[in-house]
Amino acid sequence: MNLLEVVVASALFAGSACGSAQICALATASVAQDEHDQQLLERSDAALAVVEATLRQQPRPPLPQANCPLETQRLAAVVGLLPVPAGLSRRLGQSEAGTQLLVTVVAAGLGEPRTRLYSPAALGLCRREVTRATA
Amino acid sequence: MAVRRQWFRQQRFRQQWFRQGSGRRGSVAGWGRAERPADGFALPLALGASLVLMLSSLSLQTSALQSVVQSGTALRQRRAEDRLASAAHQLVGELSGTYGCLLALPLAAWPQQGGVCSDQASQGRLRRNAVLGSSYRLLAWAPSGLDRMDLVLELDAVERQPPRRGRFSVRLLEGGHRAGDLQELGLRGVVP
Repeated sequence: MNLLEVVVASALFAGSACGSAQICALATASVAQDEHDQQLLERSDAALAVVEATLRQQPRPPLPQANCPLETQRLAAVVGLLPVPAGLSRRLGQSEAGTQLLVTVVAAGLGEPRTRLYSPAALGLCRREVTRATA
Repeated sequence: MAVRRQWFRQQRFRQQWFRQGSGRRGSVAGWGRAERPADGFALPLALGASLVLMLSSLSLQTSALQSVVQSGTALRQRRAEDRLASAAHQLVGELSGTYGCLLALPLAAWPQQGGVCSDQASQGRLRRNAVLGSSYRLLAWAPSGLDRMDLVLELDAVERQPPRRGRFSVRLLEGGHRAGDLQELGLRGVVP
């Protein structure tokens, strides 16, 4: 064993240890980000499930009073009072005809937000009189 | 005589062997470079250790990347489910309104018996429409019990994603004049 061999072996080991440590750090950061994204996804699932459950629990008004735009506005007000899970934000909107409720859940880091359209008429809460889809 | 010659040969061989042995055992400095047991072990050891380190870290990185890919797939799946559920709400909402005469009719009977409230163009639009930027097709609308209709929708393929099917159940209220209680039966149907 001479000095040259020791130097070369040490350099080789140090280089590979350094590269390996960097790759491990990248993998760890990637796993941590992935876990964070998974949690956000689960929270957005929960947020949308709570919205849907709330809409299903609404009392069904008799048909003569079941005006879809008014009912959509009422539902938007009800949904707007629901708590939003941490790390998420929620936007509420209505279709042009005002007969459909649009719920958008935004999670920073998940990219494109998740949007669901709810029709009070499909839940039996009103009866639509317009035919054009405007969502 | 031959035995004697054989004995002499063996004796000479032993003497030669002992001479070589004593020379080798004479001093440590007498050992050749290639004969040293500790010589040249550092480089193979470092190579092996480096290989093990790199392979283990690359394996870790591969599993992390695989996990990221699975998360992306799950997110795309959820978005497809959102669009399918929205499509069902949009369609049933329309069937519960001006197209109310189609609500209790199976899809196959729409052209013959659905003329009361809809023409061919509006039926075509109900069969194929778009929601949240994705187009979808109505595949099935059929009774499933006394007061329930089965609904099957197919979301068109987009951006390397396969078409996806969703199945829903709709309760008919007030003698089939009003829809209610739209329920998701399955949103994970991928068309083979």
